[in-house]
Amino acid sequence: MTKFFLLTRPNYDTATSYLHFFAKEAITIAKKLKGIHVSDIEGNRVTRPNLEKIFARENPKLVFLNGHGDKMAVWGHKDEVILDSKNISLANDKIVYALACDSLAGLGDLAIVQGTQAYIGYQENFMLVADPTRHASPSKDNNALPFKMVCTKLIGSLLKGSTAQEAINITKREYIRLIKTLGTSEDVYGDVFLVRMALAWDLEYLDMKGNPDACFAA
Amino acid sequence: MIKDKVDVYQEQKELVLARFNAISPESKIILGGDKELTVKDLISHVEKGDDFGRKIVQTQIRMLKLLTSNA
Repeated sequence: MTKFFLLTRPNYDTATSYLHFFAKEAITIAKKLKGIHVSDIEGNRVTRPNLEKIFARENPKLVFLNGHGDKMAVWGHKDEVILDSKNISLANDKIVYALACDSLAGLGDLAIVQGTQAYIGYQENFMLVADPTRHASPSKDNNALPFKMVCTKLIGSLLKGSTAQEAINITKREYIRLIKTLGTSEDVYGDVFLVRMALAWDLEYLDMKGNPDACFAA
Repeated sequence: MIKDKVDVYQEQKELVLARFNAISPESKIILGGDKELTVKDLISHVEKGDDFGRKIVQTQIRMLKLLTSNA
């Protein structure tokens, strides 16, 4: 039976351009796995009506939201609120992974009350370090690479059938591995220091609400 | 016998500030909302001891523990 996977990837400023690039890997992983239909809403198509339309049409069981956010909302293109208290009930019975700031702390709780199986996200700002000379080409930015690796680890684990809690545990181990193995030689500008700091921050605040056994493969 | 109570947080804060002061003050991190913070900004938060600054100290100390553990 085909399973539906939805992701949103706005791309209109530095932070979203990096998340847009990170999330591309999720599409590659999903397409390699059998029986997964991918709906990729990206760029200026990341609007509230488009999200609601795909929720209604495809009823995706796994939803991966990338972009900015706050405690009570996840945003799409140019800060349009695409998911908040008014439409969170559409995430009923789904696993949501929000790679957006803060939303786990408020919207995550509300989502579970409204029937979302599991809501994975960050209790605080999501932090990343980028090389300012590479903002135009995130794929060539070595500072951002560790952040891409942890994001890919999480969504990849969910796509491959790990439960929500297992996916978090796997990702936290990846954070720790990266923090411990990043080199410090020739760190003239303190890039490695900051990358470690930001990884430690994200490790601290990654968490989930809802059913730890929620599983996309089930 | 040492009678003065050791202010652990103050010591942790000084350790974190010493580490931040060793790198370029203009290096930046990206926070959600497309905000950028320089090392100088981070130092300011830690020095002021605001909520964000205290969280930075806390996560830095946990990171140092990770780096020195064998786990």
